[in-house]
Amino acid sequence: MAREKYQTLTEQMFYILLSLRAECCGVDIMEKVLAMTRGRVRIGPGTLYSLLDSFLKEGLIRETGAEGRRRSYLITDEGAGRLSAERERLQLLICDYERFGGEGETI
Amino acid sequence: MKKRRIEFFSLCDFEAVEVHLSRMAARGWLLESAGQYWWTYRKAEPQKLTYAVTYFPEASSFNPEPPEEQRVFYDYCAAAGWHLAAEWHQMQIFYTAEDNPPPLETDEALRLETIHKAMNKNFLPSQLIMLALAVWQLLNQRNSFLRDPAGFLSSSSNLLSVSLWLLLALLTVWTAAGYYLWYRRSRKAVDEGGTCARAGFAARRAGSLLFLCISLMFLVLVVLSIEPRFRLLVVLVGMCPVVLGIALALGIKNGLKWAGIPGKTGLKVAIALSIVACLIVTGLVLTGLPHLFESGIFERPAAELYTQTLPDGSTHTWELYRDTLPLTVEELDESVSFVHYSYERREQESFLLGYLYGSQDVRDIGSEAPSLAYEVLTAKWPPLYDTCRDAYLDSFASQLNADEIPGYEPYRWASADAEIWGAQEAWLLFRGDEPQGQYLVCRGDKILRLWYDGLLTDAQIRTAAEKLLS
Repeated sequence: MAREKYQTLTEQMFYILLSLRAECCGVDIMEKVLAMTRGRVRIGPGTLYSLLDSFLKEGLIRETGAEGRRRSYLITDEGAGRLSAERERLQLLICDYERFGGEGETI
Repeated sequence: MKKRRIEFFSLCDFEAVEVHLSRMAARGWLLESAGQYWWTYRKAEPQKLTYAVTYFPEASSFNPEPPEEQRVFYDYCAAAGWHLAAEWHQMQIFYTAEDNPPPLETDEALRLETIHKAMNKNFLPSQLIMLALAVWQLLNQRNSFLRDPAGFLSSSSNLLSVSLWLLLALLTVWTAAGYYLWYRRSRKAVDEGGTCARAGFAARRAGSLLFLCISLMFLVLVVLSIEPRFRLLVVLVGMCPVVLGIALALGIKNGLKWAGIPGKTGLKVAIALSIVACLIVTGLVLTGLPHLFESGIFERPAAELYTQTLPDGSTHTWELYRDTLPLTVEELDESVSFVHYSYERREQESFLLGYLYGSQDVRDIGSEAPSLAYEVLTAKWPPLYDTCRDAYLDSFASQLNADEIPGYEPYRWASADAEIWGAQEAWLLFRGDEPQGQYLVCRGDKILRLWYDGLLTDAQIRTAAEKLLS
């Protein structure tokens, strides 16, 4: 089940799903993520292949077309929901940091 | 120009492979193909290349060509600047000339999961099958040993065969255990946010090399104990099931690949055919060899042919051997002067046990000349002495008890006077209360079992002891 397996997303998972909010060819995702993060996050081809395969099986993305071996993918509603849940989780972390990690409230 | 080298890498030893191949490239040798032990390199200009290893669980050495999914994977790697150098089962080896190349794997947890999937797909099941095959062969050998310990332990071909199967079993256990230990350490490290474990494989490779060296020395010891004129034959017979089995399995795999049989189907077919082939080879050796020996192909020619004519006019032709025996009927009883005896001698020896069989046999129908036969074991390794002696003493253990059939009298060994033999222990065989002419004597490192038509006198016992147990 997608919810159980991807309860939290790693940085690699997060950016792959984010990059597939628009249809994108699998082989172009590595460059797209590099550009999105200004070179901060690098996804290796081995990791990319494994995660795309896993996301397909879990229904988080779907294949939209293929030209020979060049396959395109797009995030599904399930995947978008997972991405949104991760965003909320990260937002909570930021809020907690701003409350307790700075000069604000203390416990 | 190409060269082949033996490399002792484990399938999950990716870091060592990467470092090794980069060094080879710097020396002008590029990897062309990789296998279990043999890796092939081609000569090129020395260059600075970075190698990286990744795993593709769906890859199979049974695939005639990489399937579509694997080619998609290669496209992803090529887009990142990595080129395929070689593959070895699920291990995919890439190289790049770029400085600061992007890594193939950027998620350690995923990398570990992929490696484990790859190992479970091929490597670990194959180790299990090899272990099962080796254990099955060893159990067969154990049964042979229990039936006839002396014959088994004095046969160098048996010892060689057992050694090879035992070494194979130990090697598979060592290899599989090494992987599981590494996996557990890696799992713990990755769960704590670290990387897959890297330490330990160098020691493991050193251990494997040491293991192989010790094994080789042991095998050489076994082979050297064989009489030189039989050495080559024994080595071939002892190694035949192992070598033929492996050669057949590899041949079947390559044949299926050449025929274009898809990977999954090919794997199942190869496993089934390999098991059948090994069973056939083992069966042929176990059943064919005795027939081969019985055919007389290895026997020296009989000294003479003797034809007996019976009173009813029928004739029988016998082969009479004229081997030199350490003890003869004539030496036990000077009054015996039968001329149509067959004197037969057989010997075999290993570094554990020596075995001598002598037989002076009457072939004539109706003759009353006495026959004599004996087996002399020499235990070169003291712990085997009791095993062989007890095997003789237990040789009638499976016979029926006297109660089960009225009138049936079982055989039994009873203690006899060992002092006459100059021995530690001696037994005489009885059937009920009737002494049979069969003796079992233990003296020094020798065990003698002797059959004679009639009971031996004290003088005859002393002669037999002097001739056979000195």
